[in-house]
Amino acid sequence: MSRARGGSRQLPAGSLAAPYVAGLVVLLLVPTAAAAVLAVTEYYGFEPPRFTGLDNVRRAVSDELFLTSLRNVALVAVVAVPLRVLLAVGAALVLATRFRGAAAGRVATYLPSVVPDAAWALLWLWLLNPLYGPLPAVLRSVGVGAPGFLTDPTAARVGIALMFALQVGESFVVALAARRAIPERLYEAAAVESARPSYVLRRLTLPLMAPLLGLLALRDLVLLLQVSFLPVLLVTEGGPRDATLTPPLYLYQRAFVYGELGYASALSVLLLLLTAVALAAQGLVLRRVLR
Amino acid sequence: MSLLVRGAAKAYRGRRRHPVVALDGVDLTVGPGELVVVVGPSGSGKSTLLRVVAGLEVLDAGSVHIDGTEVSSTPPGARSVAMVFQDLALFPHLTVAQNIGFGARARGAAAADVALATADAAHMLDIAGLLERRPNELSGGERQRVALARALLRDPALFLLDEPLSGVDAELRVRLREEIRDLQRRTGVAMVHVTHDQTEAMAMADRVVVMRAGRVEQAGTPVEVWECPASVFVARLLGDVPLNLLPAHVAGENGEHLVAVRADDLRLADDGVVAVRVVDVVLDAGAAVVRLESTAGTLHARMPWDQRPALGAASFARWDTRRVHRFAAASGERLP
Repeated sequence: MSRARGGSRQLPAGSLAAPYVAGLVVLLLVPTAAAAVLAVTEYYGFEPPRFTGLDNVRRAVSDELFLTSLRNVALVAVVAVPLRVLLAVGAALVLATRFRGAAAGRVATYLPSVVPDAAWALLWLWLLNPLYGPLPAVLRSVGVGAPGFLTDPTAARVGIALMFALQVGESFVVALAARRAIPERLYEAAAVESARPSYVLRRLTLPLMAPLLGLLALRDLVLLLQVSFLPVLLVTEGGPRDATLTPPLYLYQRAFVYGELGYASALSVLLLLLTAVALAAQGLVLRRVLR
Repeated sequence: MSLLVRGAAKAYRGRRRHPVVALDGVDLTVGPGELVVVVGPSGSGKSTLLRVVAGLEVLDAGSVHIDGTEVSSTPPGARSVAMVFQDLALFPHLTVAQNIGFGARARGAAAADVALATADAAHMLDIAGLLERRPNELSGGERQRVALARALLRDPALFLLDEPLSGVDAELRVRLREEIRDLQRRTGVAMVHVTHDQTEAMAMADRVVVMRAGRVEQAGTPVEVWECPASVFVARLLGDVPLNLLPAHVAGENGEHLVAVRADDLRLADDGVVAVRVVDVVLDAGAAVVRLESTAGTLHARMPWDQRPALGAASFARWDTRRVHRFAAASGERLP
């Protein structure tokens, strides 16, 4: 309407994007550029940074703790990313249909995503506690025996993976919308053609949701690589025996516990590059699988 | 009987949970190899009737029999019906060949057999060159043919078509109409075709079923319903020029009657019975459709173009009393 009335009142497209661009520059590009500059220096925050070339990178590739943190996050990701997508899509497929209690189920599935990350982490600290936590208690009662979620390296990684995988709310909502976007007509056509539910799932539902499933998996991988910080900080502090030390936690420690700002910057740049490589690799695999 | 529907009743819960009656005691029979067209305005229950026959809706009361077997509570897949939906419901992520063979593969047929049957059906419908395309790369008419081919592979006891031609342009609609008719004759499989287009109904049907507000208003051959409409509703629905309805006293009779005169039966002459004035003359497929104003309201007449009256001319309308239909004014039912 306003466009038809006159050009004088029109805002150039750039001005609409300006607030976002300003935020992007100030909050993202400037810090990233600063990190990239600091990455080739030695800098403790007291004296001006001292240029050291690729020393930080050389140190990182032989830094046992950094390599351990990468291995940890890879192990967690292999379990947690597919599990999270699977749970989100499974819940969406079940809860997309109409039945008594479906609405309550949708709310219950989404709710964990409303819980602040810190509260979610503390909740899991309680859930996994070997002395009074419900999860070990349940496992003991069915005769499995508690694996010691906070004390055994593998079990601790399982615990972290569960924490991540069960927070499916957002993926669930997206998957639910994608399932609802498939016209009911297609299911009716399949029903008239006497297609069994398993065939419909394999041939109709999953292929039509596939692009979205790929997107969710990529998003979850980024999330895990970049944001797997608060839960491990609060629940395990990277332990036991560095089994849950993740790259974000490690570079937090380097920067703010040991004050090695230059080295931490180098680590963050490396992590950014590794994330890009991991995404590209996963993208290639998904493209193969979803074809 | 290929299809027998008895006393079909179905109500939906509509706005504020008020029940909306979609079917109110519908009987329908379709003989072997017969093409029945169900026609009616939107909301008349015709699509619901088709969905009930397909098994996509469950009846509140009544029964459905296909080939002599009661299927009222049989799931759609076990009914031996093939359906073409209004929006065709082609699977967007599958190729034409995969779309056509979808059901056959789902029912466990071997890939080689399905490929053969798909090629046959595609050949029959003249889409053999499109098998590797996806639905979004096809024209409207090609999509129609894919949906028909998919139905063919079902090898059903009954074809169900739910307004499949409503989305295509006029010229193509006429051609597809004829193709569907030919296909049905060639396969000899009974067909129920639902439409709101009376021209389509008259052109395709062995038998026409006119529906109104969840009931069957009239069923008969196209000639029967044209020559002998059971009600004002039917008379109005059939025919592309508005029906002339006159209160009976105009025709010199008494009682609560309506007289219906089709536009083709209305003549202009000096010895006519209703004074009219010509307000519009429109060319319609070589004929003149003339709009007339009279004390009895607006009337329409159709006549050869070269016999058209001058605009604004005053004249009198008359008709052959043997060609009119009489209806009770209150109920709209046909009078003998």
